Amino acid sequence: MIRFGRLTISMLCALLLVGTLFPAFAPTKAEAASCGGPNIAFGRQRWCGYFGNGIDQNGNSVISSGIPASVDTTPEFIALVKGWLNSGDAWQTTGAQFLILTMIGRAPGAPKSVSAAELVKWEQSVGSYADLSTSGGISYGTNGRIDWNVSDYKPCDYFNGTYSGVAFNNFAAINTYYQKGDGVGLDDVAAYFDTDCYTTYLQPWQAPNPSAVKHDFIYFRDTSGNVIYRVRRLCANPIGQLGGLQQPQPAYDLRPSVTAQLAGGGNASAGVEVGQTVEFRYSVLNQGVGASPANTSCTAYTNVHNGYVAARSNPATGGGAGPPTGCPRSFPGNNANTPLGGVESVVVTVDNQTICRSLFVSPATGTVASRGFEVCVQVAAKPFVSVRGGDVSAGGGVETLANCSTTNSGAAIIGWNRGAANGYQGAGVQFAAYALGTILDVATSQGNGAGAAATPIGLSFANTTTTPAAGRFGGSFGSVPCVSDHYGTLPAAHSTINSTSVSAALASGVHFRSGDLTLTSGAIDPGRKISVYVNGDVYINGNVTYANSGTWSSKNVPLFRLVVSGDIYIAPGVSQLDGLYVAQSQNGTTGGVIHTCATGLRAPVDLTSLAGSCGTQLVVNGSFTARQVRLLRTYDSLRSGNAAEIFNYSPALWIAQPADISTGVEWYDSITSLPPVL
Amino acid sequence: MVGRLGRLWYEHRVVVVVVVIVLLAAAGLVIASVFSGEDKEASAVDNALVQAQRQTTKGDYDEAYSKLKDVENEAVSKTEKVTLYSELSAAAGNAGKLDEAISYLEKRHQLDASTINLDAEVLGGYYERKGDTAAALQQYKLALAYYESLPQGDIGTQVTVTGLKGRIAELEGVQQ
Repeated sequence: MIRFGRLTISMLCALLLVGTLFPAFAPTKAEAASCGGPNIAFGRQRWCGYFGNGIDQNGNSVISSGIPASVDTTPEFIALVKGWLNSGDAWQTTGAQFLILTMIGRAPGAPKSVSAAELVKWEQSVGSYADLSTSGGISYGTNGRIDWNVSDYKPCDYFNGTYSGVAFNNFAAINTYYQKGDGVGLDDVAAYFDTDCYTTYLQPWQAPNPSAVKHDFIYFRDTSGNVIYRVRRLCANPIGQLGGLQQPQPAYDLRPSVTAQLAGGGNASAGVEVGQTVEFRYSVLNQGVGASPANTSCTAYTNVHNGYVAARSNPATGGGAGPPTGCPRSFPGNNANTPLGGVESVVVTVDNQTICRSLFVSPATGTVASRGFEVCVQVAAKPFVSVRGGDVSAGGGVETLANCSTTNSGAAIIGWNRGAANGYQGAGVQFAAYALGTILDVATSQGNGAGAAATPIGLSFANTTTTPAAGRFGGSFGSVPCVSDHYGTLPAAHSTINSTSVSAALASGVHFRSGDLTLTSGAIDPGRKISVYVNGDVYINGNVTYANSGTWSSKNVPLFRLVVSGDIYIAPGVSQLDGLYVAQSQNGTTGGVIHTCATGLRAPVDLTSLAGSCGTQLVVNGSFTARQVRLLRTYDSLRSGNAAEIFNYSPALWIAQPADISTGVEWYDSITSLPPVL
Repeated sequence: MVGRLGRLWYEHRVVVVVVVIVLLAAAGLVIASVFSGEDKEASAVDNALVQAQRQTTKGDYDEAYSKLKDVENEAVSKTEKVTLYSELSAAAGNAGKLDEAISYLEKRHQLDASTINLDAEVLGGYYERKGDTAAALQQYKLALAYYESLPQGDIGTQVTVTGLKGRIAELEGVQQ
């Protein structure tokens, strides 16, 4: 049995006390390990060589004799390091290679040698921190400064983890050492944790860290004063988690630019319309620190393309002659932006074109012969939709689907609108718009008389978050009504359509088609009530109209209902559709789309052909219900004030009761309307 | 003897265990106070030390020196003076005032001779910057002797030793 005396116990207590008080500064015992864990500096793990990634826990200073105090200019520093590099001594050469390559920020690994290009880059980088002036032991340059003699502590960071197989939990500086190899012959440089460091993490009265010792350093600082490279003079060890030096800034660095704006304000990047004026402005930005040569040339070109053409990121010279630029000339440096000439105003006369302007400068830098920039403006029609007498709602799913009223944040109502300067003409709805997503450039309460809610957001649901100047007229409503399961109301008693193509002017009653159907034009006589259910897609290639408008009584208003479990495609020539058109999706994610311009079943007009193929105005006297409505008509443009698609929602749609109504009477005894009218 | 100690342990083991617990608790309290800092108010010298270090980090060496000069006569205890003179020396050296930097280290060494070895590397640097190779060599050799007296298993010590040897060899070459 082991017994302890009082003295033994006291010593044990003292050891316990000391060990508890100073755990942070207890030395870490080096143990056999292999590279692993987080990188700590220069892309390498603890003790692992920058070039060969070998591990060695014994070492020397990076350079045997360090940096003499007499070295306090960049020419002296560069000459010293190059002397080490070419010394023929493996230790000095490796140390110099490490210094040079880490100062230019090269990734770790092979090759170990410094190429001629890397050496030039390093010399230029070092020089860029001292190319302006030197005063009082500090050199100043365009990229920052060098403090040649700084007595300071090594800076601490906190590390906690297992590094190359050995746990470390302490404040430490990142220090470096030459891996002498202990016979292994690594001839490399690696990083280690050095607890001789200072940390501002401690409280003021604990600073400086009592165990830390000051040393002499050379500091490279960026233009904000941050130390980006730190070398201890005694040993030439880089210290800290360092990145590379910045590359020298070229004496001049020209960036040509052309901007395009609408006359009177407005962004031309969203496209312009015929009749508008585009203003092109040319300028050259010099990001360098010095002026460009006096004979710097700059040339502007014009290019006009048919259809849509994207601006080139790296344009080639060529095209029509642009406006005079005033070159050749010199461009001042230090981020000076120099306008060239005046404003070039271009009145747009032809649509479906792309108008481009480009500007080239030469030379762009001391080593870049030429640099170009191009901006392009698309001339396009901006067709829009107008909804009268009713509302628009986006986001509601079919009532049989889960969460049909609240879970469709992508449900948006999008159009073109001319904004406040033009009274919010363009896309809009007379009454309300509800959207779970965004209402973009579609005005609500549009075209109403005095006293009505204000356009464009007065009847937007919601209108709590709007930025009308940017076209955001509302949206993000919490919920909208679910959509009735129209297709689910197909009555058992119906007639079957066997043909793939029928006129819309069917007999009164309920008709069902299993499969695709082409609906040709038809005039629905007063008193006729037609419901067509289709389990497939439908192509409408002719007008569907109510005949003898103006002669109806309340008891013989015609009614046409098309309910499709699939998609509806409308031919380009169709100009009027009366009644209710439903394209219902069965799963909430596919199908149920109405295309207002298509050349056949499942053949919507390609977007690149809309301008030439879909120029007929479409008037819908009734309503559309679908998972998605693709408004593809390109009739006229925003500036004309004529809508491409017009929806007139009138009482005719609901006064006439469907033919398949199963209960109740077919007509109303009386009708009244109470506010709010939404 | 062993039997007597064993009897003492047996008779007083409860007291010993209590003492150990109390000591451990005291150690915890000391650590808590050190790291929380709630029970000590920073002095003007303490604040100047922190501010000067911040200015040094930013690269404003003149301002760092000025902050410390302002409180030079406010240090009361020997410990405070020893620390302040070290910082004043570094700040003066960073501001290019080498004679003052050396002077402050000499004051510090008069107060606490145990700092002579710790400062030898920096002091050698001051002399080297002044062109006094002999004095620089003297300091570097002092530093080398100190670091060679430390356990050599630590990489940091190895690095400093080889660096000092290299500097000494080079300066001796210059002298010859």
